[in-house]
Amino acid sequence: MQASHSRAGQGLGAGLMFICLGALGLWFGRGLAVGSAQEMGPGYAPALISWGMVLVGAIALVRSLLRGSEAIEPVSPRAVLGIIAALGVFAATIGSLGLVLCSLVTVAVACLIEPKLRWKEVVLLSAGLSAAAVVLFVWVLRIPFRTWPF
Amino acid sequence: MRLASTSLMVALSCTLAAPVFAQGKWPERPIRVINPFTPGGTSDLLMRLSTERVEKALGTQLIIESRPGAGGSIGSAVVAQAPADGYTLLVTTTGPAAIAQVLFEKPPYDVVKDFTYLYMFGGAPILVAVSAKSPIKTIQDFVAAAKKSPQTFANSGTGSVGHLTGALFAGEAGVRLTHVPFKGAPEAQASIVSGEVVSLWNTLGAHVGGLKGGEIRGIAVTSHDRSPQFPEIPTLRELGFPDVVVTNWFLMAGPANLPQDIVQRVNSAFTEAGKDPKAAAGIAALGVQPIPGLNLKNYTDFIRKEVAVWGKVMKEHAIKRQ
Amino acid sequence: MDLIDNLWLGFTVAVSWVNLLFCLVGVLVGTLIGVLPGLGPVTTIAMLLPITYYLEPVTALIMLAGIFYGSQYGGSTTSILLNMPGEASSVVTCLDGHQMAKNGRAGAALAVAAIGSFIGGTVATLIVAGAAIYIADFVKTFTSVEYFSLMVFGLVAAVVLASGSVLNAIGMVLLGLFLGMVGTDLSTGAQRYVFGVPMLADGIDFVILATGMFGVAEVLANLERRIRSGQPTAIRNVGRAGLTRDEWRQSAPAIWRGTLIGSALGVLPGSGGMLSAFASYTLEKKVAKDPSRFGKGAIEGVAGPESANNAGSQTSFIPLLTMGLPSNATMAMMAGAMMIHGIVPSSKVVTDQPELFWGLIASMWIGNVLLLIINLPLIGIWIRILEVPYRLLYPTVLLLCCIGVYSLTNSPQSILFMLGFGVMGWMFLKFGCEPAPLVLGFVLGSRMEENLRRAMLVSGGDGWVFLQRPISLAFLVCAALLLMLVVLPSFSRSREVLKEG
Repeated sequence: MQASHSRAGQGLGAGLMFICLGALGLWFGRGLAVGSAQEMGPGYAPALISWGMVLVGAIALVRSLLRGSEAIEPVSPRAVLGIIAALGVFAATIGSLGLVLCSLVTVAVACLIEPKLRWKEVVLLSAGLSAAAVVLFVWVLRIPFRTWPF
Repeated sequence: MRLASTSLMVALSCTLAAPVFAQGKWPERPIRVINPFTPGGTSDLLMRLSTERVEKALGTQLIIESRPGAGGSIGSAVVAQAPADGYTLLVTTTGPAAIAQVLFEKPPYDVVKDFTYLYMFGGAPILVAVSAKSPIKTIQDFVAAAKKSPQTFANSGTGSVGHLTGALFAGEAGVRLTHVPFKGAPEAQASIVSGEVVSLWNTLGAHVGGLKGGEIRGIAVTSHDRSPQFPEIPTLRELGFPDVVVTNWFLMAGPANLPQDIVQRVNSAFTEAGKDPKAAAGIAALGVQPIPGLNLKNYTDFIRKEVAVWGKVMKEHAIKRQ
Repeated sequence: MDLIDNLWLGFTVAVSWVNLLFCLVGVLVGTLIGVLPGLGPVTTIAMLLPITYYLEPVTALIMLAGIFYGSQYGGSTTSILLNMPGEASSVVTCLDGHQMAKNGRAGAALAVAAIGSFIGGTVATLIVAGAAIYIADFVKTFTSVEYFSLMVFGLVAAVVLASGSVLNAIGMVLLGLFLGMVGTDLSTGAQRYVFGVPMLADGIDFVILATGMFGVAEVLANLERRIRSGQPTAIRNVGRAGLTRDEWRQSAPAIWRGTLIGSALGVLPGSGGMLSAFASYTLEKKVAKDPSRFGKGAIEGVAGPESANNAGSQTSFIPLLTMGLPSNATMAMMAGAMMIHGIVPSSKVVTDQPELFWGLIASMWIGNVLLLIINLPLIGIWIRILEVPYRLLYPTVLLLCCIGVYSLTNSPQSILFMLGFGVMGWMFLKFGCEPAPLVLGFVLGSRMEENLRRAMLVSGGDGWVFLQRPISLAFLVCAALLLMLVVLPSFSRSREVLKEG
């Protein structure tokens, strides 16, 4: 493994991420009563943990600035947007279209992420998986899904 | 092999589905019954004793789901917000259905307006118990110990009957008790067995196993008369605390505005189930006794009255709101 | 001897045709639901409870127990093949099991999981039979102080097991604890970080979190790599099903250690099963000559935790059968099944219902034999999944994740949460943070808070109580030692040397 070293590497990202998450925890938890050590309110533990995250983030940040860290692997927008689209389609259609059509569309959209498309395969796979889903979940396991839009 | 497992599943599912899909419109799918405490508590045991008969009468499955927390008010809030279609019901008790209304600064629901009450199982006393190994043998020992230093007491959570009964008793006996809440009866019992908490103030039913198994020692009950199951345990009334007579009652409820025919069918299904000798014996063994004079028409009035009673207890003993 | 008489009684009960049949049904159904994401043993047992009315109590319990340990086993299959843990306890198996699959050793990983589970289950069954009552007596003395310290120990174990930086692992544990607190506060009923979303009021669902952070994030990372490299489907070498002599040598001691850890920790209420898998992994990594192999497909990293996990699921019956205390949701369902038949779970079960108690114990061993018989031949079929080209496999995995999660909640919102956790998990990978410690923190979060609160309430706000009670002190000392091993400069230097080497 020959990883390139960089100041704007994984360590910096992790540091910033933990600081942000901790800060968010503190901000959105500001309305919760903290209480005392003997009688802890609902805000006691979250505040403690949020401060912990800020601290961890700060150390990671300083360390990465001093020593650098492994470079972050480049992002592929196609993969990220593709997954968001596929799961988004499932969420949007499962309630209205029913399991059969929803599975069909979801699988088809998911297949589009692949760079080298083979249309025949996409059609066969989505039809096959849709059928398998109905057999397994609706017929065998009897989960009360809506199967069709009507 | 996979084929074999599939066909087994199919066979199983068929047996499962057999009693389902029997009658007209409601119920056409399983009914979810929320139990707002951990499994193994009295409310859970009561439900499990009745389930079989009720399922037969209604022609569908009952799925008991535990949603413990905050003395039962978390699970009750789920039902208060559920659609009034008869597919989400609640088994509730004095804590979430009356005390929550007066104890919490901002109650998560209105016990009168947000529920339809369906069936009254009956009431059970609160058991006061200590570990079998505890040096405390009687309630007098307990009071003496509490006079020296505040003693701890465990129960099914903030706002449960056990909590307020303990507070009520502390006021009457003039001692200080530290309340240690749990999510349900089994956890509370474990804490007195381990010696972490000194006493247990909780509904009798769930602790029958502990008493019979000899892990815990009952030192008092809060019913008016001694419990037929445990005649050796004295009542607080006869021990000189005439005002600490408390019953924890158990009610089936649903969201507000439940259709009248569903109300009737649930009520008659549970009434029938209660007459089954096996179920009736089991319910009696939990210390749950019928409360006379209650029916579908006056359940809500009963709740109103109980809210008033507990409001008064809170005020007289200056129990602070949560 | 008493024990032999009792076991004999148990076997005469367990080998009746009806009981054998339902034991088989139980482990088969369990394996199936373990493989599918979403459906867990709790849901399945809830679905099957009604049919147990018509069975003898022993038969009912035998079947339900079979579902429980069958599902533990099934969960490891998807963890190894698809990096998709169905249950918290199989998260650890993902770490090295899936790497082994990538290295062409899926068959070996599945085989060692099956054999490890069998040995773990067998030994634990004997322990339940012989020592249940004594163990229960010991655990009875645990208070919230001990539980809290035990969980601290578990979290430190999770930090140590992470393959990346210790600091990041601590951060992930904290984030996990934080996510575990989202929802309604169990003591006060206050809503924390709910933002008016009803689904969050109950807390984040474990299956949604795990499916997103492991299943979806893994697919995303793989796709990214494929798009970037522009390579056509790499044909994977699925390898032989059996273990090589070297693999045997490495896994045998790991299986024994895992079995012991699992049997001990499984007894503890709450998350014993999962803690034992984490603890076993940590131990294996510590005793290994070359810890850098871990996370890259070390067979001990599968053998140990799988044995521990299965041993733990057997011993988790101890608190229920000896004290009437259900130690997790599945055990609570078992308690329900007992009560349907009018048996109140308490310390009286052993004496009052010996044929039930010993029959169930004997059936656990038979169930483990059945699992081994069923699963060893199936390995050949399972590893074929890896021969499926990835372009066909990933849409299948995505659809399975979606339907599994949707079946839990019936709400499209849960899919969006899963997507959110998937993107989060992918981001963690980018920043060199491993999600496994987060999962442990998540599961322990609210329990830890509950025990901390109670311990402080009873002690009157005095934090020293954690050091005053001997068992608690022992857990904390172990945790400190473990942490020191990782943080001390000499040790971490050698870690880095190994990494570069």
